[in-house]
Parts: sequence; C-alpha cells; structure tokens
Amino acid sequence: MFSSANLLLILGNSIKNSGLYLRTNSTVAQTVTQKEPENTQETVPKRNNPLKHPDYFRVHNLFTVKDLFDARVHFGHKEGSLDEYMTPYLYGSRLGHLIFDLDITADYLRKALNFTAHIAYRGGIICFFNRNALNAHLVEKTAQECGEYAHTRFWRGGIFTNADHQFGAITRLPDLCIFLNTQNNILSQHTAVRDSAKMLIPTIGIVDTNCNPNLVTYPVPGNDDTPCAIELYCKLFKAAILRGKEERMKLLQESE
Amino acid sequence: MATSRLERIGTIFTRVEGLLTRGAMKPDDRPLWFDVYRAFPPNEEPRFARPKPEVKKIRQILYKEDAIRSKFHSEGHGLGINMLNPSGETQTKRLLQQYEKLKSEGVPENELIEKSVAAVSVERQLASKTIPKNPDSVTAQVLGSADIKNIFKE
Repeated sequence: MFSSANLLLILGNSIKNSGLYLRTNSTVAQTVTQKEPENTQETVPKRNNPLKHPDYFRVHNLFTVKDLFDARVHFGHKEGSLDEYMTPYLYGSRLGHLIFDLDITADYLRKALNFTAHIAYRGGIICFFNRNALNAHLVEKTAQECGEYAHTRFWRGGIFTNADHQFGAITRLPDLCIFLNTQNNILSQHTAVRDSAKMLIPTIGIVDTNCNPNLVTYPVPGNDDTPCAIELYCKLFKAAILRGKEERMKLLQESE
Repeated sequence: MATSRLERIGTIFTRVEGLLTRGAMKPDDRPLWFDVYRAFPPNEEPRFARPKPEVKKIRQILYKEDAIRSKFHSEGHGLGINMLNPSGETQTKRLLQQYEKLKSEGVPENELIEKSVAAVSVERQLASKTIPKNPDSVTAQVLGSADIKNIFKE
C-alpha cells in the first residue's frame, strides 16, 4: 500500500533537481532564528530559539503515566528472554512476567517526542518502522496522516547503505527513524537499526524486555506487541510531528 | 558524505563531531539532527559497546492478598475475565472482596472460601440475567418461558 522505497526514490529525484536543498535544509532553522530579532524587533514579538527552551512544543502534556498504564505499556516479556541492558528500566517481576517502571518510560518517551517534534520543525523526513503484521496497517496509516513515511515490510538489505545504487539516483535518506518494534521476529534485530547507525540517522525505538537498546539513539522501554500500546505510541508521535510542523508553518509565514 | 560506517565505534554524534572538528565535514553540511541532539542528548549514550548495567536482583511484585488469591485459584475459582471489557472487576477481585467481608462478619476460617464462592456465583447469575427491553413483546414472552439450559432434555 505505501512503499517507502519508491517515495525515497521520488525524493531523491527531486533533490537532484534542486541541489542546494540539502545544504540550506541542514541550517534553515538556525539561520532564520538568528536573523529574526534584527529584522522584526518592533513589529513581531521576538521568537525564542526552540533549542533553548526545555519543552518548546509542550510534548509533556501529550500523555500521563495513567494513559501508559491503561494502554498496557508496562507489560514486558517473561524473565527468561530478558536482555541484560533492559534491567535498569524494570519495576519488577510479577510471577515471572516482567513489568516496566512507567515513570522511567514516561521520561524516555517525552525525550523521544521532543526530539521528533524538533526534527519535524526543521523539515526533516521521518520514517516509521514496524515488523509486526498485526500493527502494520495502523503504522502505515499514522505515517500517511502526518505526511511522513513508513516501512513495515521485509527489509531488503542495502536500502540505506546502498541506496544510490539500488534506486539509480541520489537518494535522500530519512532524518529520523521511529521503530515501533525493533525486532524482525523474536530472535533477530531489525537490520535498519544497525543501518541507521551506520548512515548517521538517529533512531527512536520502543524496546521491549527482549530487545537490545544499545544502538537505538532514543530508546523508549515499553510493550511493543499489544495493539492498544502501539495505538498510543502512534497517536503520540503523530501529535508531536504535527506540532512541529505547525510551528514550522508559523515560522515560514512570519519570515515571508 | 565522508562518514565512518563502523556503527560499533562511538555514537552517531561523536562520529559527526569528529568530522566537524577535523574539518572533513563543513559546518553547513552537518546533519539536520545534530543541533537537536546537542541540545537534548539522550539519557544514555547510544554506544554499542557500553558496559553492562550492574546485576541487580529483579524485585518480585507480590501483594498481601496473594495468599488468599492462591487458595481460590487452587480450587479452580477466580477464572472468567472479560478481556474485552477491562473496566469491570475480575472474578478474583470480587471473591477477595467477599472474603474480606465475610471475615469481618466473623465467619469461621474453614468456611470462608466456600461461602464467598457461593455468594459471588449468585451475584454473577443475577448480573448475567438479561432484562428484556420490551417485556410485552412476543419474543420476550417466548424467551422468558423457554428453559434454555434443558433444551435437549425430554
């Protein structure tokens, strides 16, 4: 339904036609915010630098710990499949089933949402990933609704690392990858986690108790299987992206 | 873009920072996320080879009423959770409430389990009885007189 490969290719072509885009893109937010006070000191109220504000997009009010609990984010896998690196995020074990500490999860999730909003604000491309067939449609729909991209199918090796050759054109890779689960199946990690790290793309990942969080830039410890949990994550990331884009539109309109 | 693809060395941030400080990457060409990462770094560095967290014993989550709960479960009660409607109380919770209530009334210890099971099952039967919306209709009258449980008996 929604192939990211083709979309990336289209993007690659459009970049090729406007060679300057990438360069201006990387610094657009900063140059504008620096110029702002000089140009419009009296007419428009001074716009603060979003990076100076601890929570410029107010992502902290998107959810509460109770929402996480109701969406069953605290449920982990059984003790036997625990990854050692996930122990600091645990609250305990209820008769063999691991339970996440939702206060820790909330902190990590807010960091991830803030980062997402900032990337959207700067006009970055965001790509959602998910390899659970049960949630694939939901993830693709979310990506479409916020005007971003999704990849929920089999990952052909080299989509990131050999992109120019595979698509036959210079390809712009996403600026942020959001993994709603970081595993291909119960045994192996999604190759895109490694490839994103190789290609210097930051990642946000929902890591369950059986996942390795090391290569994920902004890991969010939580349940990555239950549809209602995925629904909550999708809702939150969508809201963060839309807030970032909204601010971007305001900024562009002001500077016109 | 001149970058190292060795993802196990350092982090994405340190690799870009290295290129910038050494002049291999111009400041204008830095990735879009670089400033955001510098302003809001993650709680832990996303380093592949990071030291393992100290081994702590996983805390067991247990409750005071687990002893009573296990008594009900070992006798086969306490099943029947409606997962589609999580707002309702589970059967186990009702049994526990009934147990506490009977205990405070002074019912002897050996009869507590049996009596609370009986009370809850009566409660359940009352709750599961459907009340017809339109009691005068033919359907409601037929259904009311039908003995569904013994439908196959002569």
